[in-house]
Amino acid sequence: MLLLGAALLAATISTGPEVGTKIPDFSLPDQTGQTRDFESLKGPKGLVLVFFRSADW
Amino acid sequence: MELQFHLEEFRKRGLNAAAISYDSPAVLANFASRRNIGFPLLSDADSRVIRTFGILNETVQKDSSVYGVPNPGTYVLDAHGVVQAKYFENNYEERVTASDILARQFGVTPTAAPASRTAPASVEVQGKHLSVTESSSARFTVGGQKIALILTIEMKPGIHVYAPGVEGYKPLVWEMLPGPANLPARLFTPVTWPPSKKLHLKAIGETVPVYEKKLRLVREFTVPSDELLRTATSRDGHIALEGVFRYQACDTTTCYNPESLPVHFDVQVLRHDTERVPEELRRRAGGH
Repeated sequence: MLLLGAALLAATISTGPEVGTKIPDFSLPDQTGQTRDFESLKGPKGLVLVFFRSADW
Repeated sequence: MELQFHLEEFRKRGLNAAAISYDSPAVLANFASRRNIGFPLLSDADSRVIRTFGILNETVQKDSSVYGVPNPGTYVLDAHGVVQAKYFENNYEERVTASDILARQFGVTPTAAPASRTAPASVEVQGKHLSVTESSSARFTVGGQKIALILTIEMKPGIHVYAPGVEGYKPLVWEMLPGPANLPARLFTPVTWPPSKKLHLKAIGETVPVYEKKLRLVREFTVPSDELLRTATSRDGHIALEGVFRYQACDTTTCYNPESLPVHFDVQVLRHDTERVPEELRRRAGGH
């Protein structure tokens, strides 16, 4: 059963926090060097947060 | 980034946008100015946040210059940071584009096309015994990306068509042609055929594999890259895909003549970012 679970996990990529859960806190510099966190980024209804591979290839 | 074209649609709904990668702030600044990016690009240079989210791409070798990239995806978060929806590239039907998210999350039909001409999202072709609706998983794409081409077939009541493998009748065929862009056949995967139903024909004592009512066929198209992309793309950034759908329709008493319907897909290619950041900003293998 454990093996089957591992095989299933290997077949799908990890997609992080599940729907209905809160994302982890983060704080990162933006392209202007300013440090940003969720509170400073969000709009009145929330945020569309994209993880992308790279801006360099 | 395609997201840039849809920022206003998100803002109208009270949502800001931000994007995270493992690039340095300097690379992101260079990218943002070249591409007129109007939203924050965040630098997660040591991939710490990517790891905290649990989305580090584990298939990349540690000594590779691309080690540290995430599984690409998008979260729609409420004002408290709770995930309302997420879109990751789990399979060919889960390609993440901002227009997909707008369509799925908010029911918005994308209109903010970056080029002069916009193609309809789906096209219906009416045959004698059935209708065929053509759609694709993404309307905007870039060279090298895979998109799903989808045919949704709705048969008239009482009509059935034959699944591949049938003997003595014409099975469904969905062929993609080189078309005006002269596309090689290798860019198209074979069709994914759903399980068929076994229909017993009492009158002739035969059992045959058939489809009835509604049927959805999917195949992938890989948008060409490099020279082939240049020759295949029209001046206004479109690739026209042409194919043919063949079927033989029968009901319980009659089999009709085989028919064929032309099928078309229009793919809009966003200009690929061929320009790289200056040499001194580029990431090196094994570190920053």
